Amino acid sequence: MAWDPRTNQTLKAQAFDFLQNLRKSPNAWLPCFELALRKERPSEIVRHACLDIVNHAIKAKNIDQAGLLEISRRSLDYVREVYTPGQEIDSIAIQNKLTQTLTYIFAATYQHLWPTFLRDILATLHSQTDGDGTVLYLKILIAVHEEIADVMVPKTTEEQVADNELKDLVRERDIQAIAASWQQILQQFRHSSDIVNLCLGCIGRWVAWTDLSLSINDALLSLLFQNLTPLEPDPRTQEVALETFVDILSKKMPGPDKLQLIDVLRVNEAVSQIVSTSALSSQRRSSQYDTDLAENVAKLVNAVLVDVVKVIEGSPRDSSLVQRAFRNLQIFLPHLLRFLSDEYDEVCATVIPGLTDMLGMMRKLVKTDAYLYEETNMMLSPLLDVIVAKMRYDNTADWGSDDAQTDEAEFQDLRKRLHLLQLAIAAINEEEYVGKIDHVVVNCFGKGHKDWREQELALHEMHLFGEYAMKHGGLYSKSKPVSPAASRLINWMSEMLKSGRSYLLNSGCMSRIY
Amino acid sequence: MTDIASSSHPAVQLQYMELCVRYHVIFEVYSQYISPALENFVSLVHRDHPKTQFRSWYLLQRFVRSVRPHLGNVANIVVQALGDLLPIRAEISAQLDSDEDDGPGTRFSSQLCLYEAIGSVSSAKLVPEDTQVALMRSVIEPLSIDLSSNIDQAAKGDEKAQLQIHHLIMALGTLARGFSEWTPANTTTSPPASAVAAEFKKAAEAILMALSQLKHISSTVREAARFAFSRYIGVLGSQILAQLPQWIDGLLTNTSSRSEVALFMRNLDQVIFGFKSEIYDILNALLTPFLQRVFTGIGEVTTGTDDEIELAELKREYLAFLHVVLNNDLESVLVSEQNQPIFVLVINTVIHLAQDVQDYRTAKLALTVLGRFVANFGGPDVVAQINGAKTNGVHVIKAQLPGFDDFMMRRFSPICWSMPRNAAFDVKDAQARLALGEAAALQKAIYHKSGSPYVSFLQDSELTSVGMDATHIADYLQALTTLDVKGFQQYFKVGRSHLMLEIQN
Repeated sequence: MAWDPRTNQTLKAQAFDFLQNLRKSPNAWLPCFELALRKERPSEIVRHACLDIVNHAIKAKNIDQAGLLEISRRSLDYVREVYTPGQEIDSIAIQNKLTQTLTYIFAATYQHLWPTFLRDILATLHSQTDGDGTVLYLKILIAVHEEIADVMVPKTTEEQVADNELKDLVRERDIQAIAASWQQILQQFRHSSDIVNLCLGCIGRWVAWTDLSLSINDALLSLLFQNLTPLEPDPRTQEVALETFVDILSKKMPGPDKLQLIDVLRVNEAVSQIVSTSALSSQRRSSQYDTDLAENVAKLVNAVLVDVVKVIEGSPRDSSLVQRAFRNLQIFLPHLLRFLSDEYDEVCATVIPGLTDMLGMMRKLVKTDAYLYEETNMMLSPLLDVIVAKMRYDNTADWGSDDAQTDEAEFQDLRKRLHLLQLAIAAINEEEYVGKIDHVVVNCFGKGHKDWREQELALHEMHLFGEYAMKHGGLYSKSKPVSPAASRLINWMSEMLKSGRSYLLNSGCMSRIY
Repeated sequence: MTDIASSSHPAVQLQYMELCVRYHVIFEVYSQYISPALENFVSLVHRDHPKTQFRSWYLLQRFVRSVRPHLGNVANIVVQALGDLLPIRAEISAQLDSDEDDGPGTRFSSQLCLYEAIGSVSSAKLVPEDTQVALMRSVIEPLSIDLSSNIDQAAKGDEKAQLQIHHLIMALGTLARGFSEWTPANTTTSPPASAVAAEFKKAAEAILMALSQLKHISSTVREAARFAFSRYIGVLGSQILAQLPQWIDGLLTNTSSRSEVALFMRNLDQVIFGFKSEIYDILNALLTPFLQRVFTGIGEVTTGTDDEIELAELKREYLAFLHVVLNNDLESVLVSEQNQPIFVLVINTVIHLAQDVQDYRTAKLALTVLGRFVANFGGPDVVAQINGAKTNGVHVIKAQLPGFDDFMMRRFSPICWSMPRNAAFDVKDAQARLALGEAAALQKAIYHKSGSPYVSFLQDSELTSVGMDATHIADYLQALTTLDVKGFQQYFKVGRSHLMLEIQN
């Protein structure tokens, strides 16, 4: 009655009051519980409200042991009956409410009263051949994670302690079975993208607090891979699969383990596979280019870079670890270049944070490590090539028109970020940066017709170069250039200035002036 | 070799100009590139792409300014080439917000860059004088004619005509600013040659004509005129003096705001300082009406904080004006036949301001000015300065103004205590302590001019009336007569403030 919009106000108020009282009353939960799960189902609203009251009671610890046992038994019976093939299952809303019920029951009983909770739920729900039971099972697992392991939720110390206890128990008792169930699910329901995504989401969350070696094995990986590059592109599944990779990857662990994980997950292979799919390769320059997918893969590449750099910076003096980690960077360089050079600026921007971290690390370490110095230098040139290429207005850019204004502003933002990368490279190896710009400028002032974009790029780079070349505010000091970089800039400027003369003297312009 | 400047793409053209300005130092070494670059600039400012044109004018002005020391005799070419871009057409903006009329980014504000650039190229050292004269005339004449032709319409209230006049005056002023950066304080350079100055004088006359007819009608015209006035000090040299009464008449109307008066006074100070040896007669003639105008402004009621701030500004400019007069040996204008009547009023106002506990900055300034009065009118030192300090700080020792010594003692000296004795005086405020220091310096100054009569005066009447007992008095006089200025200032600040607190309580 309370929710029925047609009820008149006073009745409504009374109804709300009644519900409030129910909530507070210590024994209301039982009749509510029975009402909710009754074979002749009352209306949605009523069931929902009843479960809400029950959940509240469990969470508030208003139910005694006997009551909890009773609820546990009957809930299990209920799901066993209802979630068999052929039966009419609950609506999504009720499922979610029921999930909450079971989760609260878990929290209250797993330790002592019902230690086999997870196993029982698994057995009951997962054994079915259709997916509904499995869906509920996975939802429960996810809800359990959110209840006891979600780091974003603020908890009191007592709550933390209780949660940690539960986590320990899960790891002790049931994790193996659960991990095995994930594999089965991914295999059994591999054609159902909803279930696959749900399962991957579950895995992605649980890996943060459970032993990876249980969940990650070849079988799982190959299933993950299948989802990354399905026969028919399925954006949602691919996205979830990629997110799962990132989730697994971002788990905190010591350096060597992290490198191991990257190997084990075969991330490089995964990325290569996806990149070579048509969505990202042959379609790249077409309007069918799947930019969302590109962005998601770029996120993965970026995550790898960030992680590997962290490993190196965590133990810079462990040279074998550093070298091992560095090899990963080299392996991922082609992927980095692929996405950094992507025509879509959002995709390009996705890998900039990882690249920035990497360059920062290189600057710090090349001074002391000869091996790194060599290896780093080999990477700088291709990186700089891509960066400078991105600096250039692309061929579709329409400079100066009114509707290009936001694009223009975004492009200038990107240019600023790219220049920071240029400066980062210059900090590692000045000649690399200066040499590259020199090449761009000389090319621009050289023979032959030049597209305005080339010219604009050269001049823009010269403009940016000034800050780098001018130390303490000037290009000259006592009539001499302040630095080699300043000398170069002065040369470029004189090239630019030299070139104007002959044209203007010959062109029609001058007759007006003289 | 491809060249950049011939690129037809506006983005490239603009970058070319930006780089020339950003790295202009290069032209000091490669001065042979200046002419070709300038030619490019002049050609590029004609490209009318909406995204680049205004910015290109600004860049031209920046470029010219930075390479001017190395510029050759290119003014003719440049001015001719820019001719088609110079005509000014005022547009009333469609929006109600009239700040748009000459805000940054409008065509007009960018045109001002062109005028400034023209001024700059024309004043390059290698440009012969007669060329300079001819060029300035060629630019100024059309503007003056346009100006005159709009006056009648503007006087009738036509907003567009008023705005046009504003723009024209601004252009004339900006032209002058570009031409000459000389100010009276500058001893390393000099104002333009008098033949050139004569052209600017004609411009000034046109401006004054407009000003006289429109001064009550349009504050934007007054604003433009004041801008022009401050720039014309730099180009007219002493020729500005003869025009001074007209400028004052036009800029200081009874509708002028306090801040207008204050700003004008700042310029006037420059003129006085710059032409101190020539300005006596003019200053003498206009002093009284000018001061009356200032007093009106000071006396007006204030409504609100902005008003209060402007009032404080005006008071300080007034004191600064007196200071400039006194500092530059012009003090006799204050007591000349024409201005003697107002002298007492001037003194009284300064005395009044010296006691302002709400505004220590102003009080301190006023006390300084009183000190200057003592120095200029108190005659030669009767008692030698201690530690060989310079006398007065002025160059010429002047005879004492009759009756002034008595005046100093009875009117100035008591002021030194009125502040500390005021209950609202905050001895912890740093500015307040500075003011106390000036009060001490004033006493010292009076002492050195009067000698023992002053000591007696202090001993017999003033110090006792303040509330000091005999020991304190003796102590005080000892300090006054034996310590140098700095020492006495210290004594006064530390000792007197304590004593005053005691007396207050």
